[in-house]
Amino acid sequence: MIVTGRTLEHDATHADGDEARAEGTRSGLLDRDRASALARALEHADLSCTVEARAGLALIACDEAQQVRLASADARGAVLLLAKQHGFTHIAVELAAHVTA
Amino acid sequence: MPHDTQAADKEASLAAWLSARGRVAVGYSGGVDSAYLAVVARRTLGAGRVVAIIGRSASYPAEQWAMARRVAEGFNVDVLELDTEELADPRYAANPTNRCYFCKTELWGKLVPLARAHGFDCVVDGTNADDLSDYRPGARAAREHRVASPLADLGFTKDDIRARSRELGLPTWQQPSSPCLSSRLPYGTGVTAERLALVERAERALREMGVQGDLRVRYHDDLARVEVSQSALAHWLAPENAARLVTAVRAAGFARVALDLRGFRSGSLNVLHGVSAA
Repeated sequence: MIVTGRTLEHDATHADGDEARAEGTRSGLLDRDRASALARALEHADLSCTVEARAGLALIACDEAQQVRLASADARGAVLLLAKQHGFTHIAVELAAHVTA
Repeated sequence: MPHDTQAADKEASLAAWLSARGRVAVGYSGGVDSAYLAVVARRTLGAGRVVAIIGRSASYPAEQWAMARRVAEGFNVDVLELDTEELADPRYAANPTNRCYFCKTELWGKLVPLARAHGFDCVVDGTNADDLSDYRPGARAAREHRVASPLADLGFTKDDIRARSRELGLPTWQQPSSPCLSSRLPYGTGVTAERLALVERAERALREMGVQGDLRVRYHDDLARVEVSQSALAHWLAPENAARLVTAVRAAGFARVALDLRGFRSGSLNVLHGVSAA
């Protein structure tokens, strides 16, 4: 399970004591923590994926088989609930351009 | 009382309201609400006593403009057009949560004087009763320019307007709601003509590919977050369809494409930024 922490990496690189950037770093930490926690919760719900936090948006990426599972309204409902429980207002699945054979 | 009867009664009240004004100019986008209002006004007041005024800018989709012209032509509504330049206003371009206020200030600041120059002292917009419960900073600009909202004042809901539009034969009756393209950019993300064009290209590509009903391409820098109606989600999650969707949106200029798992919701970015409830 990989958790993307783009915001953290970006902000940590530039953190230099400036208050705004420090806030950004805290925000990044929070984003990474929430992304990690959501990824674990999804894994526990049998959905293995990566989670990238972009403020209120959780962006998940999974393989084709897992993506197909999300076609079920019940599965989506469970994912939405977990996202909300982890502080996200939106959750979206990143789509791939090519279908695997 | 059946819904159709209630809506018809409201339309009778609207006709009376319009008759009392004699001549009206409609702020007109060709969306469901303003199209209905313009057509009822034209039917009620007759030729030469109604004008629909379109404000064109980069945030106004070309397809919307085409629909506006088509409805006006089909129902013999006179049209005036003007160009608005809200993107040149840095208060608008910075995309604050009250962005719509600056847009509508620009629109009404030009449209109302144009209407008056053509002899129309009463200017109306298509705000409906449902809109009053949403976050709409643009409504303040309308009040400041004394623009009336008879549909809202008379209690017309969106469903009422769709029902009566269908009855009147308006092609807009089942048209999805169509707010300006800037609503696809998160607050704080600068509004530029290039970003609006990117979103417009992506949405047009998806329409041409067969996406029907509600559709929004939300701009998140390199990422397009696509919202479709809930009933269409399963279809677009199927790998072969998802691949087509990605290809179309990437061709429009986005690097990454994601499908929102909740589906379309009006004011989605208001929720994302805590302006309205999740």
